Amino acid sequence: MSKTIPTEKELLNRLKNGDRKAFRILFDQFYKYLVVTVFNITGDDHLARDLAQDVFFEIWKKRETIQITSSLKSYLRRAVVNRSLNAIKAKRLDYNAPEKLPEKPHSYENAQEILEAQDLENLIHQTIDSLPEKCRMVFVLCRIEGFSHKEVSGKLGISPKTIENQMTKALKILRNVVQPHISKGLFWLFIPLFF
Amino acid sequence: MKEELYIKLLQKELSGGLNPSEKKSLDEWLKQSIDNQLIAESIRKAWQLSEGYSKDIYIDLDAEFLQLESRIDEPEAVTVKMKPARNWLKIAAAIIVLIVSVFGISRFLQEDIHWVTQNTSENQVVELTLADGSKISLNQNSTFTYPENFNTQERRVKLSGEAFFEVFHNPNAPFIVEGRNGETTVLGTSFNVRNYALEARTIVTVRDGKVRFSPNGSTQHVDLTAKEKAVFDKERGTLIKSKDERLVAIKWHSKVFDFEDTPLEQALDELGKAYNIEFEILDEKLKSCPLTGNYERKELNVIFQYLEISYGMKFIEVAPKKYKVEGGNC
Repeated sequence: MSKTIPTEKELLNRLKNGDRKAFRILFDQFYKYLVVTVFNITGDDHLARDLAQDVFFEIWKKRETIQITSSLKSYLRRAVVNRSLNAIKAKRLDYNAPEKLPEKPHSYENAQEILEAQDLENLIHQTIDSLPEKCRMVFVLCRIEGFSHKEVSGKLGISPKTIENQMTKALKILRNVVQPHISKGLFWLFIPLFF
Repeated sequence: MKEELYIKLLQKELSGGLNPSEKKSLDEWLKQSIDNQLIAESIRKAWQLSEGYSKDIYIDLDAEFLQLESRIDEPEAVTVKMKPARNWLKIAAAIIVLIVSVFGISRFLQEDIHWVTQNTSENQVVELTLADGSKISLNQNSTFTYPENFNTQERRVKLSGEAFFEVFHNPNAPFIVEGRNGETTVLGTSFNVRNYALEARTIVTVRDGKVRFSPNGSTQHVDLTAKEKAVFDKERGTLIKSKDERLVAIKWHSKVFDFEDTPLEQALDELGKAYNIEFEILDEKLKSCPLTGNYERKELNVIFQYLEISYGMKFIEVAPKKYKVEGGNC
């Protein structure tokens, strides 16, 4: 016997009528995505769960009147990202105050270590994790979550100059991780591309 | 310093904000040396490789949906709007606090209380027994400060983060948990306090007994009894008391089971003790089937599901807190 998978529209209609099962299906589909989105931006897993819960709570409360014109996923994403940005803004961080650089920056100087750290991509992701808080937040918002500098500047209430400085700082740290890997021989292959 | 300037330009190029004159000076710098090109290539590579960045997190969908449902099903919730204390009251309160702290310090000096601090890291839960016999489970990322010995008038401890308390009954010395946003006072009971630094809400949940929660900077308080919780939101200034029939907030505290080739009979015995239920295994051979697995902070019915899938048995509730285990094999 084949079971048909309900479409998003059907699920939303069932949700309007207070159908808990439909709500649960939507929760299973999108909850983790929302938690991970907040976690990526803020680096705080408790806050991530709280905000994702808040979004689903609102959806349930407003289920009868809710109007979703985009896809549900982007609607939920926008809701949770806005909440994340408000939470960050509420912390009133000073983006220009000096921050401690990662304890031990990932600079792999000897060849053995370089060989061991085969997966450069993983290494980059770990380094993003270890960036100073504000630097990491700005970098993730602009680079990973795809916001323009202008949007981040407006939403967090910080100047575009500050964003530029934080982005540059992040790239400087990441570059130190990458450089030993591409300076070992491979680089010569790229040179023709520049001339 | 010069290098920094070009890294800035490279950043602009990648973010899409490089103007023509900047582009020109960047191109010139690149032509100057192989080293410069190496820097540029490293930065482009870093930019490219960062694209797929995402954190990973373990989510227990069942438990977290339950938590959401408990919030949805809060018909009896009462909202207490926080009124700021009147000015003269504040002054009076400040004076009292001053007197109390001078008094407290002198008493502190007299009795020479020795404070102990316990921290927990990510995914770490620590169980403590205090001098009065009270038991505390400290959840992850939390800090708990307590005296090595209590004085006679009160039992005061400090918490940042989350902990479950089973307080030894002593009507003569109230047990006070000083939290980030308020105090929780009890005589003898079990309850949970959650107040992480990064969360606006403090949640106090009571399993049994009576608990009073008083938010900081207010003259109001709520009294809670079994299966009730108070949620204080310091940003919105609201204090909400509601029912929590299933005690979802305390679920994290339920036992963690780690079985390795444990005979099923013994495993069910352990589970039964923790959840206060009894099992009767009908099939003799099933009793010695080895069970391996980690059941961390799971709902009982979820554990049943896992076992039913693994061994093909059925859990049948024959009486309250009594289960018959039918069929199944290794």
